[in-house]
Amino acid sequence: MPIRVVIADDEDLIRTGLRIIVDTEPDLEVVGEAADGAAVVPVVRTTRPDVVLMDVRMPAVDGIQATRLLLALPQPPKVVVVTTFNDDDYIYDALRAGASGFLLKRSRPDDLAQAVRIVAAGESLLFPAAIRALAASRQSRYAATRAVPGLGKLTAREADVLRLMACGRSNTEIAAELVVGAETVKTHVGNVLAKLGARDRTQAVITAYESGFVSPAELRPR
Amino acid sequence: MLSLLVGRATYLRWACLVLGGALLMPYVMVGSMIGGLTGLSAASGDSLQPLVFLAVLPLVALTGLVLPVRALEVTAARSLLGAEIDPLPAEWASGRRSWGERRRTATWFTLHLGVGGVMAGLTLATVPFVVVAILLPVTGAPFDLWIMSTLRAVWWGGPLLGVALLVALVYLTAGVGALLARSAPKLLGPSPAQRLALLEERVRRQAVRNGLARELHDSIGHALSVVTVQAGAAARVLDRDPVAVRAALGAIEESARAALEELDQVLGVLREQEDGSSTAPARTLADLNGLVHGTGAAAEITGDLDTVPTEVSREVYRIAQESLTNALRHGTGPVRLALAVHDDHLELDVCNPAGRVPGRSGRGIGGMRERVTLLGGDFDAGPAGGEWHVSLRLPLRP
Repeated sequence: MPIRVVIADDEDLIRTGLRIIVDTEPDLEVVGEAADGAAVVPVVRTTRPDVVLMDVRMPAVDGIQATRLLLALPQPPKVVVVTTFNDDDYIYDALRAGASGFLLKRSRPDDLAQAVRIVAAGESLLFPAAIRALAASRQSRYAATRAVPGLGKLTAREADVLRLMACGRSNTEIAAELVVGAETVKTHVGNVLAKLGARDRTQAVITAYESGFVSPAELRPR
Repeated sequence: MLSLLVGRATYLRWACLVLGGALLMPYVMVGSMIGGLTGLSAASGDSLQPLVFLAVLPLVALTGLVLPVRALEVTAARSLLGAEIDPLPAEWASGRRSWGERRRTATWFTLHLGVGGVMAGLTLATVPFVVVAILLPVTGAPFDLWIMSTLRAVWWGGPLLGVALLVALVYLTAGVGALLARSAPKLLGPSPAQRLALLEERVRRQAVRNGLARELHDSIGHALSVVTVQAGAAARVLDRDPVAVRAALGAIEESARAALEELDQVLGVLREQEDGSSTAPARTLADLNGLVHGTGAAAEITGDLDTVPTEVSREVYRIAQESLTNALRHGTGPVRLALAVHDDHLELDVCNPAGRVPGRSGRGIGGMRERVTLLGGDFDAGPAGGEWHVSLRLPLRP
């Protein structure tokens, strides 16, 4: 079954372009479009997509607000924020609001399609390096206010898994590194998300950075 | 503390003080001459020197008030005292000197020469004495002074006093030099009012720059995103869907053209700014008639333009210019401009029939709004009744 995608952008030229790019992938399918953050909620309700490609800057209701609205729905879709520039303060706000990742509008079509697949599968992080950089630049701002009780409840193994998640490792890679089965890793990841009260991988990693559990400096990107 | 004794800064400041003393010399010579001519020297003898010194200080102050000594003093204070002196804004430095600035320069000049004179005198008196005192055990007193016999009672008395005096002189110099260096920025740098004006100017420039950055970010970034996405899409359906490819190519062409127009405009503003800061004075409302004539707009200007403060006048001119340019570029019919100067505020309206209302309110509107808000006014722009309006209202008094 193809991955169902909804595109929300106030510029119709961006929408039609993204639609063509997504629709030409055999395993992806655009099931709806919205020209505004307010319009995206009813579209998602009726089309039940797996992933929403969400423009950040939209008139009336912007992408961050719309992300919050979507994630309040029962069985919400994954949200990927789409922006023009990657130094956008909006990106981080959107990630904190619950978006699973972000994409630049200038991404290559193949990368764009791949990003949708990664987010839909939820088994590794989209742009770990960029999230690390964003989190690093904001760590001091949030660190003091983010004491996360769940972090103390992690077992040693789960803490290892969280660190590897923050490095951007996929479940398969974590399994190889810790010499355990893929199913075991899946269970660990599930436990980490549950203990941190995180919706997905991205949220868990942001929590890990902001609480100082993982310091961006100690991690080596692949 | 030791660093004061051996540090380079102390000796540079010493040089500055001695320079002050040297500059004072002509005044003292003139003063002594007048004293000699009037026969005062015979009457007061040795006590004449301090009197002459005090008597020439008003003359020094007068010179500071009249002659352009500021440049010299700023150079000396910067290079010798090591004082951080902010440059005056270009228009103050090149134009006529205000009396406030003259007074502050004169105060500094008098302070430098007065204190420098005293310190140079002390240096001239102390150094030979120190040499004599240190050599006392081997040479004997070259002149008869009561202290010499006292010092000769023990052989190390002379050298000890000599070294102590020298050290004391260095510390005194360091202290006086530091005090001078501290007062230099206040007397030679911009006054508080000028500082405020400088700051305002900097804020204004910053606002313009931010406006331009946002404009580039919004318009060019947006257009290039459309180009990238549409080109990517076109490449994907090249073989299957010629209609979609044609539409994508059209969109790419249109977006790129719009981006170039925006770029043209933003670069134009940047160039204009550069010109304004280097040579040509920024245009004001006094130039509005020429602008209106050049664009062929119908203008209605009421009130006395001369009562508008320069800062406001420049800004309103620039906004009128940008609005007229936009109206000509994007509008479809005759442009009307109305400027009314009232007692305490002014109002500007520019309107034109708009064929196609731009979807995004780019076109420098954000920058204009920002600048008007900075000056404490209200700004409004947008479509109304088939026309595009730009209107603003600015207070003329704080």
